[in-house]
Amino acid sequence: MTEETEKYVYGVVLLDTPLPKTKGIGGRKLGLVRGEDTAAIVSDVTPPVKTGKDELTTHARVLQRALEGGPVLPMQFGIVIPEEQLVREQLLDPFGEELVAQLHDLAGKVELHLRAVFEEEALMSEVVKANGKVLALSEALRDKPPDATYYDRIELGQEVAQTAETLILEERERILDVLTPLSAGARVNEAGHERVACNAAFLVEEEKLGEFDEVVNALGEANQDRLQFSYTGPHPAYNFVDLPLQV
Amino acid sequence: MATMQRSGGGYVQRSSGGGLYEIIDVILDKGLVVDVFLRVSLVGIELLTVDARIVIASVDTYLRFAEAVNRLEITSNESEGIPQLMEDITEDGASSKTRGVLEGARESLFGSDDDDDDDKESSKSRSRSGSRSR
Repeated sequence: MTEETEKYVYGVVLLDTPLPKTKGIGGRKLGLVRGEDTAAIVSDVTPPVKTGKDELTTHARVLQRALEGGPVLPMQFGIVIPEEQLVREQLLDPFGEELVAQLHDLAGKVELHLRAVFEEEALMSEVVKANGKVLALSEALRDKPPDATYYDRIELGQEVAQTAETLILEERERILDVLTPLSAGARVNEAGHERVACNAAFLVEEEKLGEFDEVVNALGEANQDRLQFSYTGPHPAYNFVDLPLQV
Repeated sequence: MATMQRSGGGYVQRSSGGGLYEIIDVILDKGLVVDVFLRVSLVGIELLTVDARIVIASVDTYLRFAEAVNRLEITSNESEGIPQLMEDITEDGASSKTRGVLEGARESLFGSDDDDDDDKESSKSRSRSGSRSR
């Protein structure tokens, strides 16, 4: 039986990079499509490609494993190229130089993700301290039935939101000021939530990883009652591949 | 690349699920794209990504903030001045929370084997208001 298969592309590595020891999407075997100086990590897929949690997880895992063998340029999820030859013609050959340059640049560096979220209670306390009007408005609401204070509560909330935003931006600056100098690059991503003080990716040289960890830990310790940190990595440099691939 | 093995260190805890969803968000949004037409259809993906994005400037948010601030005072003792109370609350929060220095230190998503057991986490969709761009 001959199925019509296409190539799912995970990322691009240098030619001598070992194939990641894991399975591809749908449990398919991983393979390399070799160009002149680079190779694409691929696996066969039979369209239509499912795009569920398993597939997403597999994509991330393959790249994570690939990173253990050397620098990798991750593709965004869901890139399927109809046949092997086109992987060369559309990706490896036309962008060869840039791909190689980018891979060399990423060698010895990893991406780390740091997210710092304000504890609600701490943020509110700081808002009250920072803005006297909040306290006054809040006191004025006391002992009044909620129905009677709808607009007052909105006004209070607006005041809180404004001050909170200022505090959050200040916090973000503080965090970035400490971490950016230790990194080879920093990208601040969309916060996604109103109490997120920082949602950033850092490109860090492996020699500096220990130091970076320590500084993050120190940040965590110093702010343990105010901010909740989540710190992950090393990741492939998803946030730091910006080749002009669109022709 | 010896440093890749760092994640085996005792200070790294496995992702508590947020890590998995975090990375899903990343791979849907970041990375190389050869040609948009080569990308598979992502219809339906919203259904599984965490989309707890909250529209900031909404009346609901203001009311929630107001409530959060007012809640601070509810725990207060009437006999103290409010500013003092705020200090107290902050400090109480400090002693009652005792969270670790860093929750999870730096997590490694995919530990030492190929199986991902993070999948069952349900840190899910509080609102999937469809605010995902793309």
